[in-house]
Amino acid sequence: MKFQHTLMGMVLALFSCTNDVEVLPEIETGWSKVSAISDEVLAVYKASDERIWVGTATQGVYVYDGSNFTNYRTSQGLINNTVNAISEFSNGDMWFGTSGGLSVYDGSWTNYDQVNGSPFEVYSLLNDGQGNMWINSWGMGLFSYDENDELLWYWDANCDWCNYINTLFQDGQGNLWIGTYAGLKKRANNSFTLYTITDGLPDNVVTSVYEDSWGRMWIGTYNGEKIGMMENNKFSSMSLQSGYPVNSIMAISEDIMGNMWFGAIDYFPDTQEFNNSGIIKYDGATMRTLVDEGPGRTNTLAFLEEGNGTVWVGTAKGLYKYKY
Amino acid sequence: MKLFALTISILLYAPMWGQSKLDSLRMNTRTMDRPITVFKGELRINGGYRFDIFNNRYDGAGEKINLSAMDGKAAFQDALFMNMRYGITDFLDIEVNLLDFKKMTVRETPVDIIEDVVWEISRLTETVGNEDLLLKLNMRWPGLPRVVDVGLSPGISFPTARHGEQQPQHGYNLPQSSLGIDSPDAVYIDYHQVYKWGAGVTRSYLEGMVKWRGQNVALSGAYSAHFPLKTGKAVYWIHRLDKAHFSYRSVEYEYDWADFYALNLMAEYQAYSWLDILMGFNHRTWKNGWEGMSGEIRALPERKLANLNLGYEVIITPKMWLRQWLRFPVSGKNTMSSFVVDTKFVYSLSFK
Repeated sequence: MKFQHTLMGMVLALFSCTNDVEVLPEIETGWSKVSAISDEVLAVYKASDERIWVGTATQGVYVYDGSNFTNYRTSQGLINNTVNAISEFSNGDMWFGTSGGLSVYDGSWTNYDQVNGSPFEVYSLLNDGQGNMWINSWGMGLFSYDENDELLWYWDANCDWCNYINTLFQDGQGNLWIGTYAGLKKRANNSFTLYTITDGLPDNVVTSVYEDSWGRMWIGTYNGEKIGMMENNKFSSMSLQSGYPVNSIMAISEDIMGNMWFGAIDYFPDTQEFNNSGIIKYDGATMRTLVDEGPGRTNTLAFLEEGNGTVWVGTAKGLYKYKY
Repeated sequence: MKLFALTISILLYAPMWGQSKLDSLRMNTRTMDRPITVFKGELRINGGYRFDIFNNRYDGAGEKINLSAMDGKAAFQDALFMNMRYGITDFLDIEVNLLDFKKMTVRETPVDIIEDVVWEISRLTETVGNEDLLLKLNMRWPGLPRVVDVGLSPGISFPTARHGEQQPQHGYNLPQSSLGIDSPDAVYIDYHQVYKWGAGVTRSYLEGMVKWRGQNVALSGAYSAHFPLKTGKAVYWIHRLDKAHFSYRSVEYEYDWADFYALNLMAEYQAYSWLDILMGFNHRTWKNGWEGMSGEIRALPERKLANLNLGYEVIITPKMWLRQWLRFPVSGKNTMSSFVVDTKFVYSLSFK
């Protein structure tokens, strides 16, 4: 009898279910091109509702809900079809930085084409998680907008080129990093510090900033022959070893396997082949330029690492997805 | 030498001393007539060695890809195994896989990246250790005629190690000619990753088996399934290289070990009373596994592998026999495939 009970228990154990969680479908690994978007992609952003927003150079913004892409352009209410930056405000509104100003989408469109009485271009947006949206305005410094509708303007009177801002990034300590035409600025405890070539930056024109999982700050510059790195308040630089002297690092990301991704563009291609552009992957020890896989040699401007083994890559040839 | 020969003789023939007539009949059982459970009081010990040479990989569409064409990849595996069965009755035995120590080595031949510096990179991935400890009860239906045997084997396997990657042991070297030079013209990097065998979680097991016997021919079929009873946690490692020194950091993830299903079909021809010719087919499927981090989990690809097997069994003495298999892959999906040589000795003792 005891044996029968034991046997029964073992047979029943076969049917015990460990799959009581939602398992997303398996995805084939490797590269795939998103056929819906062929325009140059300038920004990729994942919103809190899991939708992927894609800013393009001439076709406005696309949103992907997991199965379909929907396109919004000026004809739908967007202020300009060149969408450089995307972010989500704390109230769930989507913000779009364009070459013609700012658009806010909450189901309907609200557009801002002037700031301080002047037209403005927005290249970067950052929600700092503390109720502030940071907005760079090309040549007009930095703005912050809070949940109480208060707009603050940060203008560097001592450094004109510091008001030309390429990129914004927030590190794990909540510090704001600002990539400018005159160096890298760090905002900590309400004060700004400027770092330049003399501090060890590879170049003063900072085009991208990223903090990796080791706590190192990576700094991409216009002179992309080397990538800058800051650790323990000390700058160093590392050769990209791409074999090409002039490429600018416009995007930096880290995947969940610890690989760093650097997106390079070629400002002055000798031919239409953009030999100085593409994706450079760093596995922690060696650099490798992806020449014959994915988008190959093309201007690479944006990364979105979803944290689940999917990287979205915005390039001059459109949007690509890499699954590993 | 004489002492060795004497020891072997005692080991082989000692169990025969003092045996009953029934024992004598059992000892002279041909391979194909052997019941699917061991006899009451019989302790049967299986031990052997298996060698795998991995030549190909099947992709998701089932296309075969030559491994050496993939960055010069080469893979092989050694395995030592031993299990024991003890007959509680003539229709019920208990079986335990005491040892299934495997070492699988995958090596990618060095890749030269020629830019300012020559980077010679090699990747070595080893999966080493003992497989899970499988404990099962083998039962056969009593009262059936000689021509047919029906059996059922429920079981459970226990993890012997934590599943996943061990801390890597990457190496960085400058060639002798570059020592002391600020900008070396070459560096060598050896990526060395080590994984443990085993699921890392307890799993249930069930197998059903049917055997039909003719005069000199027997056919048998078995279907088994292995299910995880809970999810597990494991880590993988990421690395960084600073001035020729590697640092590592682990990242934890959750996983559900894949369900495993195996179909085994076998035909036997008893050419002589001491020689059995074997031909088999097996098909294995791994599915429903997943891995995930931060609450988001992804299904692992379903894997399949089918093999054709050729083998023989020689009865060396009534208490000891040798079985050898060659396995050839015929189809698959999302898995490497290997040519296998499997050699097993079986030794039987009677405790009555």
